[in-house]
Parts: sequence; C-alpha cells; structure tokens
Amino acid sequence: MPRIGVYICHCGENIAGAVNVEEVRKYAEQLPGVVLARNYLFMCSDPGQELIKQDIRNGLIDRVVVAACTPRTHEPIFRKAVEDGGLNKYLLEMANIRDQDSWPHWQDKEGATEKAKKLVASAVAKAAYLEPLEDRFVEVTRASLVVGGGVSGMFAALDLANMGYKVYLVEKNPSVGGNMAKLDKTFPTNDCSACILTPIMVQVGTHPNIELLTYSEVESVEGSVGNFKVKVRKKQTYIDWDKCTGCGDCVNACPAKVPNEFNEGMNNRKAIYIEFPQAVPKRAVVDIEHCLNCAKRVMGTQPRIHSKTGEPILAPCEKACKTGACDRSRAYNPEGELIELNVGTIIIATGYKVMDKEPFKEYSPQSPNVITAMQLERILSATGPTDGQLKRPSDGEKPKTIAFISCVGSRDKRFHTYCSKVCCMYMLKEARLIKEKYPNINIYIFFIDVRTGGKDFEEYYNYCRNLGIRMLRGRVGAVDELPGDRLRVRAFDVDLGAPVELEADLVVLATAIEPAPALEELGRKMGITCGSEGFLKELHTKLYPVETSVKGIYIAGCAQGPKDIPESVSQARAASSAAAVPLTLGKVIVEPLISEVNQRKCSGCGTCVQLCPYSAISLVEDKGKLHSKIDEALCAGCGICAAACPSGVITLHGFTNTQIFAQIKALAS
Amino acid sequence: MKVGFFVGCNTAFNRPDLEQAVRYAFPALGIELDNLEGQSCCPSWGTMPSVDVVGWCVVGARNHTIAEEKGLDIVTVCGSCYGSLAESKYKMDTHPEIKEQVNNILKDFGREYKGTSNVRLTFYYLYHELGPDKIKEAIKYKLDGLKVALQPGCHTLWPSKVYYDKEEDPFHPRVLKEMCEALGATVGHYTRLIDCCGMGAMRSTDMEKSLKLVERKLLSMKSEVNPDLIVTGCSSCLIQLDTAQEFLRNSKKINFEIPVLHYMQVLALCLGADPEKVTGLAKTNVKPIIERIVG
Repeated sequence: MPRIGVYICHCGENIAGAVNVEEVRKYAEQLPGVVLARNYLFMCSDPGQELIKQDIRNGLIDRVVVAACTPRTHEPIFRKAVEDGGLNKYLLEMANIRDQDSWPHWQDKEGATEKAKKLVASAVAKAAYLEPLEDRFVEVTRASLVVGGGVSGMFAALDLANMGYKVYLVEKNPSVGGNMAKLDKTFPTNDCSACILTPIMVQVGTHPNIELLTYSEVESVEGSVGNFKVKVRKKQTYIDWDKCTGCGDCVNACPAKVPNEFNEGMNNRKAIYIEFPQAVPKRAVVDIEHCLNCAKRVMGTQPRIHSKTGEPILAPCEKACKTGACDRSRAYNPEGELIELNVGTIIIATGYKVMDKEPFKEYSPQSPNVITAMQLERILSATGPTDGQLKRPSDGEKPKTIAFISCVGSRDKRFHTYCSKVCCMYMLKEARLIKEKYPNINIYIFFIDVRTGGKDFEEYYNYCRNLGIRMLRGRVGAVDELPGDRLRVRAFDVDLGAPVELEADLVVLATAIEPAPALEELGRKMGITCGSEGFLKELHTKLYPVETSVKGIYIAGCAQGPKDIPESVSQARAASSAAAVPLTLGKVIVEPLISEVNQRKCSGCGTCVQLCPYSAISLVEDKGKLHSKIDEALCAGCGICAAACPSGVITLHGFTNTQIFAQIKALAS
Repeated sequence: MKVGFFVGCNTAFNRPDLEQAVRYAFPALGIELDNLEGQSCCPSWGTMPSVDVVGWCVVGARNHTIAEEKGLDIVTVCGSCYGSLAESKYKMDTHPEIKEQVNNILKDFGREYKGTSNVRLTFYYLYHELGPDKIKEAIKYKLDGLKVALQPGCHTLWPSKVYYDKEEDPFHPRVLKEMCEALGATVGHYTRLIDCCGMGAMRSTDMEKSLKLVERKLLSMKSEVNPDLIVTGCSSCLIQLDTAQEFLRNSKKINFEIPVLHYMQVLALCLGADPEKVTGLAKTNVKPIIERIVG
C-alpha cells in the first residue's frame, strides 16, 4: 500500500483567496492511501520544499502530491525536492489548483474549493499507481538551424557561429537582410539602415561556421531536441551560383518587367534579377514565372542554329553573361534540390510582413498617392525607386503637405486587435527625416495614441514636435480623391471635439505588422502553435520568452510578435544563448515519459507505425514474427500509439491506462 | 414577377408623388406590386431601435411575416425603412435568443417570424432582378445629355453586412450610377458622394448641424459636377436635399438651386408617367428638367 503525502499551497492569496485550503487539506487527509496532508503559504519556497524532504527522510511517505500551480513552471522544482528527499523523482504528481481552479473561479469560492478537492482526489488516485522511472540521455548533434535571414536570424546565427557551432541559415529570398534592408534610417538614432546592416550581412556570408542557404525553405522537421532531421528545399535559381559574380550584366540585358517586391511594387525589376544592390550573396536568380524565354530559349533546350552564321541563337541574358553562369541549355530541375540537415537545436526568426493598403477602402487605396509607410521608406531610400528623391507616385512632384495615419489595421477589431508597436516611432522618424530636409513641407500625423515607450523614444517624439510636425488626436474616417491629385483627409479631432478636414498631396498609412505568410504552416511542421493573433507562441511570456513548447526549438524577432530592431536583436541573442545550452552540454536529458511496447503480446498489426507523428515506430521481425519497436530517442511521449493500440499492449510511462482510469474514477465519484 | 411594396411613412405622408412613381414604374416593367395590407411603422430609427431591441424586432418581424405569408420579398424606396427592416432581420437571423423572444410575443397575435423574405431597396431590386439593359429597352424617354449628381444614401450602404443586395465596395458605390446611366444620364463624381445628407435624427434635433451637412454636400456637387439634377436612392435624402435648398438660399449660404428627384421618379418619367402625378410635390423647380426629358 503506497503512503501518499499531500502538500497544498496557498500561493499567497493566489490560491487561498478563492480556495478554502484548510477544508481541502482535511478532505485530502481521509483519501485512500494518504498518510498525511499539509498546507503552506508558498510550497515552492525553501521551507515549503523542506517539508516534503523531511517527511520523505522520516520515512513517513513514499509518494508525493503537490496541489499548487502549473507543472509547466514548477514541476522541475518539486521533482528535485522529491529526489533530494531520497525518492525517485517521478513519484510526484501535481494538481494545478491555481491556473485551473482559483484563478478562473475567483468569484465562486465554494465552487473553487469543491473543484480543488476533485483535482486533489484525482492526483492522489494517480499517485497510488506511480512507478519509479529513470532519465535517459541522448547525444546532441552540435549544429543549429536558423530559419529566417533578417536582422534577428542573422544575429542568432552569428552568435552561435562565434561560439564555434556549425549553423545553417535558411532564408526564402535570394539575399539575407529581411525587412530591415528595406528601411532608410532607423530610430532612435537615425543611423542608415544599410550602413549598419550590410557589415552584418557580409559577416554572415563569410563566416566559416555559417552555411548560408538563401532562396531556400524548410520542408519538414522530424526528431527532437538534440537530433532534429530537417529537410530544406533549395529553390531553383536557374543560374550556376558557383560561376555567378553578381555583375548584373544579365539583369541589364533582360527585357521582362515585373513589379519589384523589394521596392514594395513601386517600380519594376527584371525577370532575371539581383534582389538589391547590397545583396548577400550577390547572385542573380531567374523568376521563371515571368521569364519571356527570349529567342525561344526555354530552359533545358538546345539553342537553334543561325542558318547563315552557323552560330547558336542565344537569349540576351546568356549572351551578356561572361562566366557561363547563365546557361539556358542546362536541364535544371524546376523543383530545385532537397537537402537534409542534422541539427541539435532550431531558431525560428521568420520576421513579419506589413499589411498592404488594399483592404482600407475608406482611405482611397486606388490613389497612387496613398502609400504605406514601408513604401515611403523605399521612396526615402537612396536605393529606392526615386533614388531617395521625395517624389509622390502620381506625377513625381514633391508634396507640399503630407498626412500620416496611424493604427491602420492595428488596434482595429476588423483586422488586428494588437498594437503593432513600431508604427508611432517609424512615422515620427519618416516625418522627421522629411521635415529636416524640407522644413517647408507641412506634416500632420493623425493618431489615436502616441506610444513611444523605449529608451530615448519620448525625447525623439518631443524633438519631432519641436521641429513643427503637427500631431492631431483623432481617427481618420476617410481619404477622398480630389481633382489635381490632391487628397482630402477627414478625421474627428478629439481635442477640438469636432470633425476636421485637411488637404494633402501624399497620405501615408502606418499599416499593421502581420505574421509572415505561412508562419502558421511552419509552426505546424515544428509542432509549435500560434496565438490568436497568428504569431508563434513562446513557452512563457515572462520567464521563457524565447523557448517554445517544443524543446530545442526557439523563437526570435517578429515571428513571436511585433517588435523594433533593438528588441529583435536582444531577443535573437537571447535565443542563440538558449539554443547553445544543449549544444554545449553535448547531451540532453530526455524524460522517460515515453511509450513502450510489450513485444511479447504485440500482434504486429502496424496501426501505431502509421499514426506516430515522430516516425519513432517501426515493424521489426523477430523469430519469424512481426512486432513494433519504438525508438526511445525519437519518441516524444505524445501517447497516440498507446491510445490506438487495438491489443492495448503499448504503455505510455507516466500516463499508464491504470493511472488515467484511476484519475477519471476519482473525478467521477 | 411579384413583390411586396413597403411604402413607409415618409413616402406615404410627405411624398405620395414618389409612391405614385413606384406604383407606375413597377407594373410598367412587368412587376406586380402587393400592398402588404396591414403594414405598420418599420419602426424608424430614433424610436424603438434606440431603446428596445426586442420591441423593435417585434414590430419589424410583424411586417416581415406579412410578406412571408405571401412568399414575397419586400421592396421600399425609403433608406430608413430599408435599414430598419434589414437590420432587425439580421439581428433575429444571427441571434437565436432575440428571435425566440420575438416569436414568443408574436405568438399572441398568431404570427411567427421565419426569416424567409428579403428586404430590398427599389433600385437594387431592379438592378438585380431586371438589370440595366432591360431598363434601357423599356424606357420611352432618355435623359440624353442630362448631367446628374447622385445621393445613394447612407442606409443603402451601411452596415453592408445586413443587406441582401450588396455593393462590391460601399466606399465607391456604383449600382445607382449604372442605373442612372441606363436611363442615358451622364453621372458626375464628386468627393462628398457618400457623406450624410443631414436628414434622419439630426434634422429633428439639431437643424443647424443638419443644414451644415447638406450645405457642404450641395457645394461639393455644385463645384465638382455642376449637375442639372440630383438623383437620390432614398426618400429621406430626397426630402432633405429638396427642402433644404430654400433655407440655405434664404440664409445666403448658397446662391443656386438644383432640382432633386428620387431614382424611382426619374424612372417613372422615362417610362411615360404623368409628370404631375409622380413629381408634383417637389419643392425645387423640376419643370425644366421634366421638359427636357419628355420633350
């Protein structure tokens, strides 16, 4: 007969404010198998843990139930206490009477107390059947994968590489750089974005420990911490990158015109293109969808021969290429190349996308002079469509009056309820850059709140106001197109308490930051969920902000939520140090909470093999009989096989059928 | 083709000439009108909808059941009736608890709201059921050369989710424009097209603000289109734009007059209706326009 000790935590007022702890303690005392029940103000404190250790050392108990908060943060602490007391650490069960009881039922004290009793009874019932388990260790592959080559991904990769680890940096575009490469200047110091980013890009491109995989995407992820198997698709560039020097001759020769993504669609690029002047690697790619196949030079076919000269008839890009990198006769695989990487840890830093203007019909998106702030960023940039000249799109004139509209798509229940966090500052920055250069341009910023929390941000805001940038508190209801390419901005000025109207030559929408496209799908491939707003979810908002629910996978930058460059870089460097821990240790503890097959009784039907999401189960032949075998290193303990086994011969340790049924019975009684 | 005609109080008591226009135009286009005997107040904005959601829905639902029993859709010329009836229907169709409360009350009158009839505004109904081409074929007189400014009306556009007939982009409505072009009009764009005309509750509570809105609207029309005629999609807009001009002239806010007609009046004229019957109560001088249309 097991001897169970129950320890109930007040958690200060967190639990005791809703649950009558003493009543629960008395109830627990008389449960079958329970030899003692205690309560304490903070069970996780040293004296609280000491209670448990003493009772074990005194030989009073051999099973422990802690009714307190969430095992997510506190199970390791109590397991350690149980182990220090002298018991196997898996002889512990937790009942979460805070997150699942006192907090949600704060208004119903009686109900909360009754529910606490049920949760404790259920934990006690399971505890009676707990069995000692031993930790396992697996060897770690000392390499890391970073997904996303923006400023976050690059810093994460550089840090790990500088620690001496091999890093694979996967980026979907032809060049690293991300959104930051598109920016003109960066707040709060107004340093040139390209000037501070380009050296980082070059370091990433030349670091001996970094293998740069641009124009590539993650296809699938298998395995677990220490040993992930990642399939990466290198998209087809149709250019031999070993030979390409990035000279740009082919680009100049190409006649096809395609909207330029890097300039936010405000001018055209060619079908064969180099993403932007500072691209790393500086290599050309062919956008095959828009390629015109000049001279009927379809990829992978032999050129026709000129009837008079006897020379092959080549496409302009081929003719221009001096190194032979552009060779359309080669039989390229349109699917690119699928490569497999083995890594110990993964960092996701896939960044964000800014909303475009189309959904905002009230702001006349059909007008070329209504632009997004990212488009203005490109107009201001020396590498942009106007070579840095402030020209409005409709006629290239310099605007006399510019209106900025804040919170476009952010803090708006039609689109995103969250604050995009960076818009107030980037609007001020863009306004300041213009005002400092052209003091005669009138600039108005329509806002609903100015949020400039951050080091030196409020000072920046005040500086902008003193420059004469006018701030108007009020939601903009409409932007109308007027004759002569003018725009009428209509808003409700909250300070005046009246509608106001303003005629402008250029309207800039501070559109929201959104999760990168397909982020949810990438999350699914890795087993990480997204929050309701679509960004990847961290393990714990405050304490584990770069960890995810999957061990060994970390997140950094805007993939986790909107943030500015200083914050993204900080988080990237935090993620790299977290991701380095398993690599440094060389081996990781794997909880023994995994499935095991009773091979003698297994009929070899193979049901579990198909169902296992981690490909951890295979059928093996033994003495002419098939039965399934679970690879301990790959099993993540999800329990799908145990639930599905028609013969009931798979046991999920820590969650055995006997334990679960005992819990259910206790809850139902 | 048959449809229930919800006349509405504004049309019946203030502009019966508009009612006559509908009663002429629909049959002339081969659509039979049912009188929906027993119809009551819609009820209008500023009354029950502001104070008692279920009460509002009960009165609205009672009107709906009259059409439901006959298996007909409802058409109206009035933006307020259109908005009130469509919104009460939307409320009941999307909130089962409201529908249940409504039907509990309606039971006492031997009625039950089912939600089977749709609420339509006349020009949207004609646009979708006949289409501009059929109308082009049916008319006797054309608006050739006539320059028109439009007033679609706010309730015809918002909240767009409650309406059966929708504009692709309510910020840039085009159905009324296409319907006027089908009559041969040249439709000019002005930048305050979707602004409020100042009618509705504002007219009865704050005349000064109401006139300010209509003044701004008229000035925008005059300077940007300089129209021969204003065509409205809503009877309340019709009344506001038609009657406010004299006020504004007297207080020297404007120095012009633009004739105003509802789309159904213009359509009835084009189909050959007696001008006196279908436009006789206009305050603005519509005679020269009528002469240009019917020659």
